[in-house]
Amino acid sequence: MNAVICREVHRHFGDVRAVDGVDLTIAGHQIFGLLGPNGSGKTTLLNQLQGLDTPTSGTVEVLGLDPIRQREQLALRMGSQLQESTTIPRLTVAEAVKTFAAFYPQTREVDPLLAELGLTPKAGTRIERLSGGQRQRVFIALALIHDPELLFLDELTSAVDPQARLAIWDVLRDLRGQGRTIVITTHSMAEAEALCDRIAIIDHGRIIAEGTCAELIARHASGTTLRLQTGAPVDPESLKTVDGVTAVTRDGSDLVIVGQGQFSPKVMAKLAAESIEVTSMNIQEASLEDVFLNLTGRAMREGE
Amino acid sequence: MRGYPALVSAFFKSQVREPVSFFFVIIFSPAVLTILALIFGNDPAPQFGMRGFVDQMLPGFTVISVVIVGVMLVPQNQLLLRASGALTRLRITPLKPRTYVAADLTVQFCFGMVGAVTALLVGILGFGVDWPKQPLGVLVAVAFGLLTMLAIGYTLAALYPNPAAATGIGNGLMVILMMTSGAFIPTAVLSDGVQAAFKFSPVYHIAALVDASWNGSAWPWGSVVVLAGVVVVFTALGTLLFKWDRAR
Ligand SMILES: Nc1ncnc2c1ncn2[C@@H]1O[C@H](COP(=O)(O)OP(=O)(O)OP(=O)(O)O)[C@@H](O)[C@H]1O
Ligand SMILES: [Mg+2]
Repeated sequence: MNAVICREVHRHFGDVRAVDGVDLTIAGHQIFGLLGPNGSGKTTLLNQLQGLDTPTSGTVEVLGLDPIRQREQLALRMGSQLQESTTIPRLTVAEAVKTFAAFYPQTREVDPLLAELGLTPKAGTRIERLSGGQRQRVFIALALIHDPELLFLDELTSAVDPQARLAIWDVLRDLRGQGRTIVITTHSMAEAEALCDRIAIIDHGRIIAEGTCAELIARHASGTTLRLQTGAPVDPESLKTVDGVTAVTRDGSDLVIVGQGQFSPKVMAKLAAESIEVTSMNIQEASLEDVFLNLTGRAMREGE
Repeated sequence: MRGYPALVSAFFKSQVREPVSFFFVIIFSPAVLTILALIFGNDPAPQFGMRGFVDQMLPGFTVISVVIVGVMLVPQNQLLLRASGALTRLRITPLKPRTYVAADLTVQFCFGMVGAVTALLVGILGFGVDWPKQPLGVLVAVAFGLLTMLAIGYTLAALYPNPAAATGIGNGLMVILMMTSGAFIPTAVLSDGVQAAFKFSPVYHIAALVDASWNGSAWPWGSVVVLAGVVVVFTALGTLLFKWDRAR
């Protein structure tokens, strides 16, 4: 069964088209990533899916339910971590988790859940006094407490350190292994590549591409990027004739050569023949970054 | 009502750990009473009908905590929860809005009662004021008054645009309403015009019920009707206007 179905969903705030005609189906039992820069509409789209906001037009179905009219039924089966997370003030971690547990007919045990998220030493600390990453993990615990079949996690690892991030990824992979569906938003390419089974790239409220990571790269960014710094200036035009090269540009002092197949040795040979010294080089396979660049003409840098 | 006990316990802890509101409800009116009593003493005086200063003021003082809870704590607490996004977080759980409201009202009610009773005990035990003729009647009158103020508080919470407005407008409203309680100015010394104006204040009527039970007389029916009307109207308004979310 599909976990989420959006048909022509719009959400406008005055002139701002935060969500601008999204058609999206998210199948169950996978980790699905909504990848896009700041302000692209990820949170607004999730709000429509969680029944926190009503679309300007279009329809949304989550686990076969209407998120607004069947809010309570959906809430029992859905777990959420909101981007701006807060809860009742001045409670400790354990108190908050136990309070939220009481809202559901069936829940996981609190202690093992806190342990899984590395929160046991902080169980007696007030949430306000935790670090940003620890607090984020508390809200993941709140999202998981009732063992939901569908999870919405908005920027789940943006504040956590690399070690905690890996631990959270492991938790999510386990959940997927148990057949749950997880929808995350992120502007981290690395997170999308490492974690997500499928990815939708969102920009200006529209889904501009969707598929597995490999599919997206194959469809929208096949090719390899060679970055060079040279001892003497090189005319970019002179390298465009090399077999397999599709584009040559300058990026500051770097010479950026994009191409297909085994073009790199040929470029190096040509430079050597002209006695131009290569002082540094770097080869990169196409990545999601290139997908975004190719689709929008803009770079999407992490944390921007 | 799943989650009600847990939410009551959570709100209670949250409130007790908030020093400012805790101070205003539990400490403020007994402290003001103590200071005034130390300045003026409690010797019988002709301007108070041969009663002492504290004797005269105490019934009104029990109403102060009730006003603070209704006009300040209820709206402020709710606006802060809404502005911070805590209510949004509650909204994506299966918690029913009425369970949330019930838990919130329970905790605020308890705080208001504790504040009123503390003021009473300070006056009686600390300054030798005579026990009210009908102590139970006084408590019931305070509880009834608290209900009206909670209903008003919920309506205010829905109307205030942001927490700053709740504090600003709330402070003004609180002072005006407290004036009409008779705690600071004995209503008997006021001109007829001012007394007539005071009758528009629900707090005046709450104080009237408390006074009546204090002196062992029957509740004035006019005040009972006014307060019952306030409860009905503002409960309806508060329910109608209640919103989880900050304005979009
Ligand atoms: N309540 C609102 N009123 C007006 N505009 C809004 C509102 N909520 C969102 N927007 C606008 O909608 C656009 C999308 O915002 P949204 O929060 O969905 O982006 P996002 O992809 O989640 O960004 P981020 O990565 O920074 O979290 C933004 O331009 C934002 O300013
Ligand atoms: Mg967002």
